Amino acid sequence: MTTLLGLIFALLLFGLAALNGNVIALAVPFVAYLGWSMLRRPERIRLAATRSLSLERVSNGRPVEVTVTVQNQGESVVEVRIDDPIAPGLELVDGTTSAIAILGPGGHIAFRYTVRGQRGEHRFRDILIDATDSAGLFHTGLALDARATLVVVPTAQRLRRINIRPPRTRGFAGPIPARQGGSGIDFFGLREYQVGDRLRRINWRASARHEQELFTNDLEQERLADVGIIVDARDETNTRTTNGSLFEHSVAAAATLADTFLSEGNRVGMVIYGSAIVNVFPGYGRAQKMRILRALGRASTGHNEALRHLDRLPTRAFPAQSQVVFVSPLSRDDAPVLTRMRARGYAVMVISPDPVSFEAQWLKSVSSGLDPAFQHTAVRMLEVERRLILRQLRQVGVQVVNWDVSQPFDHVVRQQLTIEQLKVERLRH
Amino acid sequence: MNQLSTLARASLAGALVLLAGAYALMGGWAFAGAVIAIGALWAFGMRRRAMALVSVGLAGLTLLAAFGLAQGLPAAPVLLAGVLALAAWDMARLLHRLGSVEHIENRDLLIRQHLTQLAGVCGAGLLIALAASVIRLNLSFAAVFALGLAALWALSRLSHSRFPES
Repeated sequence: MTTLLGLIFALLLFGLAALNGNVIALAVPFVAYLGWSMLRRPERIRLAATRSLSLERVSNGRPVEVTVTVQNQGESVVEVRIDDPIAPGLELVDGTTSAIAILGPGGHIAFRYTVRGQRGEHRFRDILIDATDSAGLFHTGLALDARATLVVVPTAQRLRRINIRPPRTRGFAGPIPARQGGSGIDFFGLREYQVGDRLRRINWRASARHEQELFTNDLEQERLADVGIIVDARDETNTRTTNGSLFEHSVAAAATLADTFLSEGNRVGMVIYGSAIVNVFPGYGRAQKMRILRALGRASTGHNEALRHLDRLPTRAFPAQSQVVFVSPLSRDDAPVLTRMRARGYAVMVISPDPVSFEAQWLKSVSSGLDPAFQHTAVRMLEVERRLILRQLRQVGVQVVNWDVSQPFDHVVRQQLTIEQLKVERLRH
Repeated sequence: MNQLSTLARASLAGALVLLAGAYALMGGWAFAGAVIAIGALWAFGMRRRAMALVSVGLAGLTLLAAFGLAQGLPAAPVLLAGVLALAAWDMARLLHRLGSVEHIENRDLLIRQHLTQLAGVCGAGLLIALAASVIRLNLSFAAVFALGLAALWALSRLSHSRFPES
């Protein structure tokens, strides 16, 4: 518009100065054009926008189709340019996020695009509208409220059964050995024969040693258990490099564990311990899995001075003597708290993504400028310190899985939990 | 889009031929060359989607047309050249706007409506301008000056009344 106005004023002044009517006449088409634009400029714009997502919760990397509709609820014809800014953290896969249309009264425009995102909660903000006259000289900006939230939840891997033995189980039949005799599969002990015992369960070898008594094999009952998963989201423990954050591995592990325990029928709860304490109360089944995945989808690391140490861990969120799984890279202050939990009767398992190997691999991939010998020594020292923490935990009967995140989680769990199981059993004996 | 682009180029070419031809007929070869140079700059701006160059081109051609009119060039072809330049500028801007988005609802209808309105406005503007160049009224300088000021004032008022925030 500035160009046109400048030209009109220049022609008028030039025409007046030169006393030439033709020059002033040359300004007439420009004035007509500007006047036409002014008259065509919509004065009262009433637009409504909606944004709908094909799915509001998806797993990591899965595409989501977004449909944007803008309707003209006014009585004038408007030419609009629509821009739908994609939420940060999302990537446009297909389609376009902007459009141009002429909307008559009651008219509408709808366009679609597909996005994909990393784990997290992605909030779509206002839809931006630029209404213009048909010449595009006069612009009116609008921001239409059409908020939507897309939660990208972590993908839970399929994991074979994890052997846990919490001191206390629940009353329903399940896969966890209950430390009580009864009906089951595994041998639990011997007891005197009682009327009604099936003949096939009589232990003839033991009975042969006694003249008057018969003995029956007692099998270990298998029940459901309470499992509490604690995800460490403290900034202090979660290493972050340009290759990503170790926290993402913790989240993926927690999702996999929750899925595995829930699919076995156990009651699972979760606490995310970071800048705040996010509590997912214990529950069963698919609905609980969704609750946990949603919480994990929204989880992020943060700092809170009050939650810097694990002292404020809400252990009461989990039933006494239940199984607690702590997913954390671990810091040196964590061992005493976990030891106390063990002393209170919880069966504690630690899944620890290894921050030392994570950072060492990153240092190898970038030129840090550090002396390689110095770097090697530093890594060694950190490894020794970490080994000491892990040993301290193992000595008090905590099952520890030291996870080098370059290895697949299921492989590491299968390998280390079997070894751990043997070590814990050996300690018990 | 291709048709609109062709129309914009044809309109620009028409404006250049008329204005440069008018200068050439009157022996102003240097000005004719300047018109062609500005036209080339405009065409380059359209190709590169540099709207600033297109606007500079419009300003240059209009000022050259005004100068030509003051120098006694025939009014009709120069006024027509001015109108064609304005239409070419408008179409270049429309092309730029349409090119900046992928989804355009009813593209053909939108372009057709725009061109119809543009043709109406330019036609009306050209007719009024030609009539103004033909009809002669003897007015004193003071009257002309007063009328000019009144036109400026009216334009400013109109602008302020419709866009108070600006």
